[in-house]
Amino acid sequence: MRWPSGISCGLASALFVLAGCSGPPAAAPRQAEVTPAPPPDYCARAPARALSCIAVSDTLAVAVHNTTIGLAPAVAIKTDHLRATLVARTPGTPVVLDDLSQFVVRVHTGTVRLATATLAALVEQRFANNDAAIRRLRLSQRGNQIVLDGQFRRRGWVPFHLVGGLTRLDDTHLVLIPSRMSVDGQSAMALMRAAHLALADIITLNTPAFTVRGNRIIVDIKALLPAPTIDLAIKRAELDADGLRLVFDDGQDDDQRLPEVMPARPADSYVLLHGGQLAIGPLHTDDPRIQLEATAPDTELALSLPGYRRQLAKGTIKLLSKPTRATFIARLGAYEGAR
Amino acid sequence: MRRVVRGALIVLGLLAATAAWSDERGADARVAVRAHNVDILVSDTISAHLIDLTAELVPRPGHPLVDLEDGGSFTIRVTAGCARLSADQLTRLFNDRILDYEPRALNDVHFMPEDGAMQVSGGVRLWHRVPPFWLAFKATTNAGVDDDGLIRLTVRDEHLLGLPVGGLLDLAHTPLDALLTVEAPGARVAGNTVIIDTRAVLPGPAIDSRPVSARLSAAGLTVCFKGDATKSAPALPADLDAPGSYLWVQGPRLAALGQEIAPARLLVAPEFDTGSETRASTNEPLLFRLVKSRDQIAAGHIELGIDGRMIIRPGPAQPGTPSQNR
Repeated sequence: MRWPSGISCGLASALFVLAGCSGPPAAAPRQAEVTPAPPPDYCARAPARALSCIAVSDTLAVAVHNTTIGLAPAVAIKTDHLRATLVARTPGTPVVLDDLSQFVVRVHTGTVRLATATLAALVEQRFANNDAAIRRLRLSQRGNQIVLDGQFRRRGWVPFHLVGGLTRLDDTHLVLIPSRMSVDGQSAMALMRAAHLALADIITLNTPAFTVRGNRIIVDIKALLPAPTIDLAIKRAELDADGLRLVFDDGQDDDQRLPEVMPARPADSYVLLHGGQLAIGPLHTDDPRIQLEATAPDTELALSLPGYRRQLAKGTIKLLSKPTRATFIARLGAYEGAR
Repeated sequence: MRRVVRGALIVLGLLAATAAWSDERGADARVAVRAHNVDILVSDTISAHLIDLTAELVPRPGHPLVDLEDGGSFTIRVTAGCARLSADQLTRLFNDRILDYEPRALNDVHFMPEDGAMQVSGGVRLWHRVPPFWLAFKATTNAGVDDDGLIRLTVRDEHLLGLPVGGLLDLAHTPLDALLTVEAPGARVAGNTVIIDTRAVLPGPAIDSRPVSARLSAAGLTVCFKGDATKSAPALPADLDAPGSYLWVQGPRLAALGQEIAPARLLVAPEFDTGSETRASTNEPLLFRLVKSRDQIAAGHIELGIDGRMIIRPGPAQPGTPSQNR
């Protein structure tokens, strides 16, 4: 049972000598929560072109620096630098990095090297099928010359040996012009010239990646490379003792080129992904800011496109705390040779 | 004086249960959570220990999915299990949340475990203004939950300035609420009881559940919701070694760290918990921010499994948060 408030008040007065005899007055409303001042803007102090600070873009871009990109078993492209965009084949959908057939890589600028072993793997894999016009093809290098050994089909399989230079033909093609050739151990070039025979008269080859026209073997680089589809424009091709060096440039005006982007934190070997929409496993990101690095410090990054998830699983992802825009540093585990 | 504060409590976090969730709009984006031996921070200082608890995070109207960086984007519906507030956590809840307004009748309250109860001490002003300074009080409180799911901290053995006054107040039939009020969301005084509503008392995401029991022990105030968490979904995947302290989050999709994660299968566990190292052996609970955990995650790292499961190894919570004081 509750006593009248006056009695309660009197009791309290006796206890505390207090005044005022009404019931408990209403308290003031809760003060508005004070929002702490935001920390100094990270991008106000970071380089203007830092990964975390560049403007939002609808285009998913990639910047590669001092990184080896694996495309398939034994197929690795040593990339000095490269700028490209990744474009989903279905407009309006994110690029799904787990599905290399789902998007196209449009290279804008770059310099890469295909080591002799990579060239060999690319060529030999294309002729691994005995139903092809050429089989048992082996590629090697002798100085700045390509050496091909194999068998072509002509009323049975006929061994051949071919040596020639590899040069740029146009934006997407290279051409191998034989300087020496032997067939079944017999020197053939002089005989072919005397008989007005061209290489195409001996070897019938017309595949997406290789075509024999006259005395030239034409190589379509886009068709030669495994997925993903890579749109590129070769401006220079140089074969030296270490392999093939390619320089790409799509010829865009400076004001249309992708802006230079700096890594979110200092690195000499990295891949940067930013802008557009990207799916990496369960992560679906709008305007991602991702920096891929090797796990070990000061180690060159080797990234396997078909195997990057395995590399991620063996590495760790760091979230940078300061930029407002979530920026991830993904340290990839060991390269698996693009298995 | 009967006041006494009484109380305390809170309810912790996450959850509870009640009633059916009628809004189906976010049904396909509901996220299921299992917490085991985790301290969850719902603000910079207020936390609750989730003993074993399962819950659903349900997108609120206008939000297509649960965004863990936006506590307003979802409601927490506890589906089973128990949570606990230690004396220190109760103290922080009262001082940093329930009594965080002016003028107030109670000040700087502290809870200390007592045998099957909790001792409460602090400062009091009658009708939140008399006298102009805080009078030291001490009391004992019991805890319980009625059918309405409200936690009731019933105060007894009140002492003022070291003098027992409970008997005098009883003699005068003066209940606590005749002398003081508590004007906080989810907390009020009625008679000699501080009544706490788990749906409103905690900061952070809304909780759509009320407990079925509450009891005090030396460990603190333990609040249990309907259902057995060990039998409630979601279950930790069988192929994962159960860490000594973890959060398992799964759902068709959710937003976190500025990204959408779909499907979402996240394990939040301490760095050293996978192999039986220090944390596991001591069973030290992980302290994790339920929302706006970006800084804490940035202080740790993330692992992305080949199967798409993400393991978040958070860093320490911000300095000064309860982790350092447990």
